[in-house]
Amino acid sequence: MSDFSERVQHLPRLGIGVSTEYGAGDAPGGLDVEALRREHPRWAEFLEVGVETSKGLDRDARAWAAAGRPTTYHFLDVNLDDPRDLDARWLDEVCAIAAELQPAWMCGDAGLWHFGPRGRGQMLLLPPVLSDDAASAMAEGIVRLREETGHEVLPENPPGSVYVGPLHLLDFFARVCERADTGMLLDVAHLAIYQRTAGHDAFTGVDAFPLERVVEMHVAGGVQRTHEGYDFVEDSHTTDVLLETWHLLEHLAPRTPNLKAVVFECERNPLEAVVDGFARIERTLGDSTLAVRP
Amino acid sequence: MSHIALQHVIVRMLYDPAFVQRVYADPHVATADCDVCDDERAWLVRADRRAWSVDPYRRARSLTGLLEEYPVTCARLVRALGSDAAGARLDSYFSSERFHHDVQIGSTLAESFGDWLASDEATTETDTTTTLAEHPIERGIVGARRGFERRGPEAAGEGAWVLAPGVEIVFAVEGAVVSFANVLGTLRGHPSGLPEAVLDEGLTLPDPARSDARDGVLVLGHTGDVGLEAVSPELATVLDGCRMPVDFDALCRHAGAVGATPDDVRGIVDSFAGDGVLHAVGADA
Repeated sequence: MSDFSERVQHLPRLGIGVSTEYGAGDAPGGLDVEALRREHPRWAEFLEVGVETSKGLDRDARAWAAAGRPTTYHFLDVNLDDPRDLDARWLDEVCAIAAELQPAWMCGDAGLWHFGPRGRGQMLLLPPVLSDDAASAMAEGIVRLREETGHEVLPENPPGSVYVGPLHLLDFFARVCERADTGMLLDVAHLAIYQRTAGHDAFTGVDAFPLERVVEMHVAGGVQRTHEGYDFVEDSHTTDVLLETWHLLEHLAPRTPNLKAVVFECERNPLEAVVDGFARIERTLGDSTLAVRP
Repeated sequence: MSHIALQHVIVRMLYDPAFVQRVYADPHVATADCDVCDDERAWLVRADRRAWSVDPYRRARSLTGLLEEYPVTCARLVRALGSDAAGARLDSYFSSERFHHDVQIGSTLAESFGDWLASDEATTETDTTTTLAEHPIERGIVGARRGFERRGPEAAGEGAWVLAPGVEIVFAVEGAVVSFANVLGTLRGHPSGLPEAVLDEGLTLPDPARSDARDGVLVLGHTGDVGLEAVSPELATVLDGCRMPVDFDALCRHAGAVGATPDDVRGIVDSFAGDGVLHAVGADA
């Protein structure tokens, strides 16, 4: 297989897209993806489909895929740093769903999606242990999943309230990307949460990160909360995007030469509430490679 | 692979503030039984201690899911203790040694909770002939729903038999299948849903079965929905011998304890293999 710098040239430009999860469109107040596409087609150029194999695809995702529209497969159920988790049954299910979606690539939070066996009652999402050993283990999982599915696998930096390990989050993912020779989905909202939690400036470590690895970015809202006097940000996917998140997007978008896609994660909000966020993303991408339309 | 053990410690800390206190007081002592190194122990206590408890509803959310796995047993516990005391008792699972041990070794939470429910820690001050009357059935259903393929170090080669994934065999007091169905029906009739019904001590439950005799209960989840079938204790004993892969001769020796002959065992194996309850080892390969 060729190296990432070559492979990335063959990945399609997807543009601005929107995320969904099983049943999100049917939830009260949820985003009507079809309506978004009708009224603002430039903001729904592709659908990022959140997938738990135990649930499969919902009606909206199936309809989108059946229409031949672009998708990405966002996994919600694999611990990439645990080789036992890429079992034959799960891989079969992933491949079957991917065959239906025909995604441009696979992506997803590279953290702990479940403790103990995959299944109901076991699911959660925690960041990875930010250590060198865990970076190597995660890289192995990414390579394996890429080889098993035939799709690029882009790890995403997950959200969290506690981060354990000696490495800066960006240093950790730089190691993962290099060892797996892969691209990355950089969630700038999650990065802003991490920087705040760690007591860093929003841009700490950014300049040292290999930005040519970034293929996709996520933007999402967060809610500031206080618990026992401790301030933290909940990754709420509301439309109230943190100022640092916007600043990171503005700083990074023109500096990521292989950026192919940006998702505004707002699937639980009505259409009228998401317009401003999409418009700002579009304006911000005006100076990026993503602004060049084919 | 110690990062995985460390992740399990992290999960335990997110669920249990008392454990967080112990880790911050002395991480070596608190995690002495975990396969983590000294550096990793030091990483655990670098964060602001309050960051571990920013989600105060984590236990309640998980407990709601567990109530739906064991509605009858939990409902009986609520009736025995009162809803406040029972709520506190059930919540204490997340601080129990069972919880910490099982999360650390990577067990299923529902199976761990079921084992804890059957312990003195959960049922003290209650009449266990009532509170645990239907527990084996619910525990069997949890196992059947997970349907994990059974393997064992003693697994035999060709000619071995094992219960199919999604099939469990349990022993319960005679009549428990009926009382389980009656209680579950009562709970499901509650207008606010199953978890609310479990906690509503004003909702009277049908009495449990009372008997000194025990039935076998075959829990059949291998075809999708879970079904229950009462079987004789003797047949249950034979089938229980197939919990892990066992060759025919060993199964005959096991079945001899309840008076079954090799011909009896052959008939049982042929019949249940035909129904998909028993699998020949390697048949799925």
